[in-house]
Amino acid sequence: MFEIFTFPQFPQNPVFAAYFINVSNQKHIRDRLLAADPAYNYAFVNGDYLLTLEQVLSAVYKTLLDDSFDRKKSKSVNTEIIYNLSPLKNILECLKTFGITDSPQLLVIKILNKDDDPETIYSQLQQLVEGTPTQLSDQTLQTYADAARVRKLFKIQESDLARLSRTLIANTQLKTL
Amino acid sequence: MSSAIVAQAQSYLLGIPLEVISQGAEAVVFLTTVHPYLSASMHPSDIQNPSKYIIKYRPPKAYRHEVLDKQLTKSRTAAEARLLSKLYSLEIPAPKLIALDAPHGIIWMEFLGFELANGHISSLKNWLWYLEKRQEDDSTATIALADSVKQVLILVGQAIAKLHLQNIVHGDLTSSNILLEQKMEKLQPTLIDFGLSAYSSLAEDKAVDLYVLERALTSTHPVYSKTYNEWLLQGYEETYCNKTNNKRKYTEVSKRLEDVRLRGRKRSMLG
Repeated sequence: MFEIFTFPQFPQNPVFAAYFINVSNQKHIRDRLLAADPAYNYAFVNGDYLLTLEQVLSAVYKTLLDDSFDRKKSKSVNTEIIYNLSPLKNILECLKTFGITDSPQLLVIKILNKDDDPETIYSQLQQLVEGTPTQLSDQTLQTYADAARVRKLFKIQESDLARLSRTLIANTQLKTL
Repeated sequence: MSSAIVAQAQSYLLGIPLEVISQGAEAVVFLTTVHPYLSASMHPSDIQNPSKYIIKYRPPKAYRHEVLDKQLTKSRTAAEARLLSKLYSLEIPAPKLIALDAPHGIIWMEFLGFELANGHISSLKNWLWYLEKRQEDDSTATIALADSVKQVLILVGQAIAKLHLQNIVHGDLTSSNILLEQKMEKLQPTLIDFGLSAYSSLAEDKAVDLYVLERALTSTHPVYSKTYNEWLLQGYEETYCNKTNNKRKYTEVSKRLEDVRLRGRKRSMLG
């Protein structure tokens, strides 16, 4: 179960995304990432703070944009996606909160090239993540996210979820300025 | 309209259909039918019209030094985007921020307004003109000075007061920089174009904001401008004085407005 998103400005880079719940091997994934294992070339995003697909895609869009004009802040597009989602400035801190944590819900994103086969990528990914694949939608994101913690981390007092999501998007777009 | 500017914007916005809808000294405004990162089947949060978006592009200025030009474009674009986001959290009606490419001077924002019966976009100016025209054709009815017009102008005054209470001045208030939105069968004004906005707590700057709008109304709606202005200031005063200890501050702005009327927008003779 995965989704492919394409942005009109970047037709050559489809975006692959898969959502897992009940993930149990976070520590192993983290260790492989720290060992820079090339098989783990994905953005592993903590699901706790993700409320809408729009929030996620807004950060991926910014990453593609900054990558295409060679102005990324971090080393790879994967860390850049995590960095763009987070309200924090320190990249390591961003990875610790928004990257792979002990949280059981995990969103995996990968920016593809046009000729990559998403099916192959998904089957490779399934070897890496021990968890239950779940349909990615606003509804699933909201079921497993913790809106109260989102408000706390971003320091936003916004009770309405749609308004909260808009504010998060603005946060992402204004990142690094 | 220079095609070179459009071509430049297009090179930063590959694959995005662009239709020029307005050009000012600072920026070109495009209308587009696509969202930068959501497909047509996905609905963005808290956006009224998901089929159209505005792209504001600040082209480079050839007369400025290249390095300085890049810095100015980036900081002005970022400042405007930051303000839009701030206004959203303050619940002051303004376009919502969708995406940003500050180094290239590009802001994506929500499309606002609708088409009036005569095919024009629903800016305060066009709407008043449309009503004034109908008034000319039918002198027996009350159209240009109807209660609905009074309601809208009071709301405009209130929106400006909300802005000023946060110590934000718009910087370029005209009747074409106020758009009307249809919300629950009522017209709701929204301020647009915050390209010249600034933070200021000075009564002077607030008075100049009101004065610029007053002058714009006088020149675009000469027959009814006096009444329009009265309504506007009525709404402004209502909201400004809503908090108990703001009365004194309001008096300060209103006194200053009288001074500004006598001497014009510029305080010093320089510049």
